Amino acid sequence: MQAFIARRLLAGVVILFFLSIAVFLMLRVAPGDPALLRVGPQASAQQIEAERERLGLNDPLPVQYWRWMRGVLTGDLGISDFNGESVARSIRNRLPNTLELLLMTVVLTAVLGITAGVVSAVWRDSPLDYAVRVVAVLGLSVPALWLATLALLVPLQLWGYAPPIGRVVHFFDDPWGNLRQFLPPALVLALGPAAAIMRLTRSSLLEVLRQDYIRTARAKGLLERVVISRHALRNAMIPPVTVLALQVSALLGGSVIIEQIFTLPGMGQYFFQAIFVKDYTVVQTLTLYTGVVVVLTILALDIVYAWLDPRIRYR
Amino acid sequence: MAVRQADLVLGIEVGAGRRSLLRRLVRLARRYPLGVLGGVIVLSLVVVGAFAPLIAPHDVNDIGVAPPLSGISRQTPFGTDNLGRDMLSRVIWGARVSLAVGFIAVIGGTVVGAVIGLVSGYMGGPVDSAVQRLLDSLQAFPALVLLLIIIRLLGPSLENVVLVIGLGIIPGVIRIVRGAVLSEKNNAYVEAARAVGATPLRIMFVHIAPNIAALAIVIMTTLLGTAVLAEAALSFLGLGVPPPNPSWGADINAARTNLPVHIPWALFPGLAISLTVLGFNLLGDALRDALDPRLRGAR
Repeated sequence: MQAFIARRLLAGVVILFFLSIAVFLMLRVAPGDPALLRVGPQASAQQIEAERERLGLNDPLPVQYWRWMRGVLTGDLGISDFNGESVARSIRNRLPNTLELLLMTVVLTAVLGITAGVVSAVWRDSPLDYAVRVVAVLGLSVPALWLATLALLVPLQLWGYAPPIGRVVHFFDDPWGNLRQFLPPALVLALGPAAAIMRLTRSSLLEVLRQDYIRTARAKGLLERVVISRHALRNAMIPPVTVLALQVSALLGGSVIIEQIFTLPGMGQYFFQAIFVKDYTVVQTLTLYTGVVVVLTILALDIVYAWLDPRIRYR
Repeated sequence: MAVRQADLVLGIEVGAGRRSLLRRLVRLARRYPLGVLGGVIVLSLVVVGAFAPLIAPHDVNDIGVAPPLSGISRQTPFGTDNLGRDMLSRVIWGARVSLAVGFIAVIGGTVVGAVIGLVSGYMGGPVDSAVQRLLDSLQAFPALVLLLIIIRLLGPSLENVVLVIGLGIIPGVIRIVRGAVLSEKNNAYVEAARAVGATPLRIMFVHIAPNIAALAIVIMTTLLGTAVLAEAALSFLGLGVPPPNPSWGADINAARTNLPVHIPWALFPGLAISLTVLGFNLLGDALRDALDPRLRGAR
């Protein structure tokens, strides 16, 4: 197992290396001069040149890449090209907010999706099953950005209510205020993935329930509850867990929009602002951060597999 | 697939003739009523989009059709926005933009992805490994983030939105098609074609391709919903289809960022997106169950 984890980590590093080169080149090959954006259209050629020099854009590409990588590896993430703030400090301030949002979303996704899926499979073709399936297909169709917008606008219109906006209420200072701030965006973000997990759990559990060992378990006279919870569920969980892990990548994308709407100062909002002003330093570093999160999630997934299904052996 | 090959071997043509095709369709429709509903939704939206100039009561950018921020009324069933533009007309024209972007991006992306998947899966070897490693790297990258970076660098325009959404769906298509090709190429008919001296190119595109066409249609239907959502997201963030084109996503964003709050303004474009995606999802589910059981529960 250790050897397997080590090898996967190494593969992850290779993937991240390619990712870093890809995003680095993409930013530099593309049209549009960030220096020009910085100094404005009225600037003289000398001013633009000076700005390019200041941003280090005149250095050869390998030099620029090396400067960035050396910084990333030594923890010196540099300062934002745009407002001169320390990137490391911005990340330190914002990362906890995004992690809280993602954690809540993943927990909500798993709990809602798996519970609904199991209910729907166990009481197959009952009114409850139909209700759950209708909600799920709607959940896959309704865009999160619209739900989030309505979640803000409707209470504002009807009751003049708005959740705390802009600054973050920390959980340990004011748990209720924190939940009011994080729960709505997490719920909105969780709906689509939960619907996907529900459908997958349902079909996977139905598949498992058809197998011989389940018939054996029932024939032994075990309670249906035990058959489902002890025998069927564990095997049925592999596809939903896979998709749950892959959803993390999609959630990182979704958090860009949701943090924007709920004005949560997190990584998604930071990333979007950086893209908008073509802040190369921040965009490439945040892209790498995204890659790290996804690579670690996929590694965690492989470990969970081994726990769910002892037949899976890693060499 | 197995059935179809057996039919081929026996030389019997199944499903030939228009009558039996019609009967098959009716039988399918009875089995998948939700799929029919999805098909009806999609077809209606396509008609609405195609004939938007005839259907829409006003031009998208006619200001002062009714007072700004009018509510739901007989003249303006969906209300108006802050410039007094008719939201019903904007939603109707939005269907045209949204579906055009979706169809072009998905057809293009699926064709490119399917060709790469086909070649990669059939050829195997170093080409295949290279494609797989590239896909692994791409997977470590949220699609929306990738789209945002590219579109920001290229600049928002109708063409670029189509381009990035098309690019965004290619990796998923490659993966699914490659998987299908891997199982397909072990079949006897591939062996037979090879034995009579068919070139790899011919085997891939004349023999294998028709057998994964059903799969491709299923993927495309579901991806159309995804593409509509992606277009809405890009436009919502101000990096999508630029004005004067109407866009559902951009309208929701405008409704969100302008005060005072006017619910109909945000409500109807979102309903339109949801309905469109729902139509594609229902249709896709039914097509998947009917055409390709391999994919059941794949999402």
